[in-house]
Amino acid sequence: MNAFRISTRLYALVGLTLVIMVSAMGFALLQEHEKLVDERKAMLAAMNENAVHIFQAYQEKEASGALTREEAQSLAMEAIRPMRYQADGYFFITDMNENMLMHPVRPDMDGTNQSGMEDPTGKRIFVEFGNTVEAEGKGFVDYLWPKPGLEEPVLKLSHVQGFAPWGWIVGTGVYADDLDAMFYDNAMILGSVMLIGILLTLVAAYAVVRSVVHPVNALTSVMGRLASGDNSVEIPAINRKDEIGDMAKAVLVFKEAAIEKIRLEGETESARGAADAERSRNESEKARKAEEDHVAIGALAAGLSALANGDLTHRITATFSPEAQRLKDDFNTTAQQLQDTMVTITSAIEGMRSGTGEISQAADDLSRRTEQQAASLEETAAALDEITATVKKTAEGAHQASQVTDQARVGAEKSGAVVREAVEAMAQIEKSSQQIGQIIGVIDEIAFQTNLLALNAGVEAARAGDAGKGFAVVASEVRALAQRSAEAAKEIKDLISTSTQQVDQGVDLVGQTGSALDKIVAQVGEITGLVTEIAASAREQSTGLGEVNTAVNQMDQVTQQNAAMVEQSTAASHHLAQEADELARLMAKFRLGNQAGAKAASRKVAVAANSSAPVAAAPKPQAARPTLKTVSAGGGQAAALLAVQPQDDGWEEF
Amino acid sequence: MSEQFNRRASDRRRELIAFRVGEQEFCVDIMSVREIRGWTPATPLPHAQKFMRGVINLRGTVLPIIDLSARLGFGFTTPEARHVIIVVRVGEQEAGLLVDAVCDILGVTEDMLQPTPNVASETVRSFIRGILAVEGRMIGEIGLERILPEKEAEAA
Repeated sequence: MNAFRISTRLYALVGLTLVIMVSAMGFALLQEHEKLVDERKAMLAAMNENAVHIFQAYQEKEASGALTREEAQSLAMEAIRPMRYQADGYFFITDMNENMLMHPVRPDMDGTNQSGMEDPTGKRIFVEFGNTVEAEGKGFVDYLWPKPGLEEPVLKLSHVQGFAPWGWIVGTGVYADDLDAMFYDNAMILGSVMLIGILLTLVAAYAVVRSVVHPVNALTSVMGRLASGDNSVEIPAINRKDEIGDMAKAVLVFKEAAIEKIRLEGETESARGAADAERSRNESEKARKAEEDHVAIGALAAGLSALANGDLTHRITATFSPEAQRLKDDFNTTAQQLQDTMVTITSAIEGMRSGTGEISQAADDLSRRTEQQAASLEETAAALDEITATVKKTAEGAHQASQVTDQARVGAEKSGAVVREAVEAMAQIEKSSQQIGQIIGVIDEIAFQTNLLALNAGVEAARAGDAGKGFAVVASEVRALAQRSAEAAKEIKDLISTSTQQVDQGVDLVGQTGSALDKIVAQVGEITGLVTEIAASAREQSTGLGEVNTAVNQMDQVTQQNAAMVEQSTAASHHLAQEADELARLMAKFRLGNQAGAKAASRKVAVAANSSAPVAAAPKPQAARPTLKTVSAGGGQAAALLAVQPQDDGWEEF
Repeated sequence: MSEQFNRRASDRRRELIAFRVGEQEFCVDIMSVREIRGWTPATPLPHAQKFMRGVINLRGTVLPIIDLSARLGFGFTTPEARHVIIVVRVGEQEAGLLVDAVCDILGVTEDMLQPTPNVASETVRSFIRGILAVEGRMIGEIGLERILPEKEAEAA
């Protein structure tokens, strides 16, 4: 894009616009033409539709028997023949075999076969009609045909539609030459208008391009001269209000800047001469100062070297120049303060060492107690397991007891039924006894009467005197029998009454048994309730124990973690003690004057005594290891993981 | 003579009907007994003496019933089905004696019947003709003449 000049680009823009405009116009024109053709075709289709409706009307008459087919067809033809529309629109009718049946303009073609008819392009028009109708029932066929009264064929739009019941095709068409003529007229008008528009546009474009390109070229040449150092040039177009004017003002700023720069260069040259004189004066002063500095630096170096060797008692005594006097004082003050600080640090380290010793001791104690705690937890877990087993047994026992009491209840209920049957049986026995008693009464009565009869017989026999003697014997025998049967009856009566009494007792006892069984059933019910409560309680206990177990496992885990941490802190405390010793050893390297040195020496002995403690304490945690690992199954693995990790490399780690 | 008398006395056999009144046993000669029957409720007679239980219909005959216990002065009997009426005939008179039970028919000789002790009053003698002591039992023979009301009236 930037390869082209501005004028070229502007002209290209105008040219592109014109091309697009012309194309749009041409496209609109073609669209218009297309639309007109479509409208005309739609009109043709509507017309044919009319003709077919007329055929249908006659065909219906034929179907109803009012007319024969020939009459109906000829009436339909006559109806169609005079139909016209617009200036020269007419209908013709053929059959499916390209026979012309009716043509209102060329009656000479009626009844002839037109399959050979071709238009000037070689299109067999009527065959095409037949094909279109056969394929789709109706459709458009365009062909060339001379206008009536003229010989030259022109484009004709035609529409054909089949009428199946009679095998007819009705067709109509209009010439399209007027549409083409309209199209060419419109095209001519539009073309001339557009030509004028294009010319005007080109003239305007030339003016605009000139107004832009000319001042730009002028500014370009002015800027070229400014670059080559010619500051006297006049800037053109400075008064313009457009972008060119802005550009000209910017070029003016460049020009003024160049003039200012030449003025400043002159001033710089004069200032350089004064600076050279000042420099030579300063150099002699510098040499004197260097001598003084050499002395001060030597003394400072000696002092710093002493400090580096740990001698904090060194002080600078050499005389310094007044400027460096401050340096000497500061060094001495620093050394003094350093000495004081070191003395303080030494005593602080002493305190730290005794503190770390105590921490180590405490950590060892803590480690021991953690081991004890772990052991106690292990015992607790074992005891919990036993309790859980016991509770489980209790629950099972309660379940069995529940089953047994159920069976007992069922048995008792069955026994109740048996008791009722027994009571009934007893009642029947009683009834039988009563009946027996009645029978006995009868027997007794009979015996009584027999006795009386025998007595009467005896009386009669006595009256009869000697003649009745035999009879008297019989009578007395009968009496004896009657008496015996009376006695027997009495005995049976006694027995029956005894048995009735016993039956009564039996009934009573059975009744008592029944009520006892009822009580048993009720009590068994209570027992079942109690046993169920026991079972429920056992379940709750089991749940509670599960929670306790979880808690114990958590405690175990925590204890394991604690044990690990205690070991770490023990190791850390021992290491701390060692570090404190190391610190004391390092501090002893400093010379801190007389009173400080004496202190340090006495402490050293104490340090040696304390430092043996961590070494002795170190093996203890290792001995504790097995007891920590064996605690209950749940937390055990985690504990083992925690426990294994630190021991071997732990000491070096800290 | 006395031996003869004894022999005669011993020869003369009698038969007695022994019966029970309360806890005591009495007897009457079998020849004076017409019939023995069970207790039938008697129809009381107005203003009759206490021992008269009333009358019953014995095959068309009106038979007066005497409570023997009451007649003998032992108290009234409460008759039940098992009580017995002994129908006796004294002279032309028939009467039923209500007794507790008939024990048996005893065959005795005259000498076995001992006279009623002299210490007893005349009244007692008139009621008890003699006493029979057999098999450890004491059985008084009732003097039927005194028992029946008419006889009493006559005696009186």
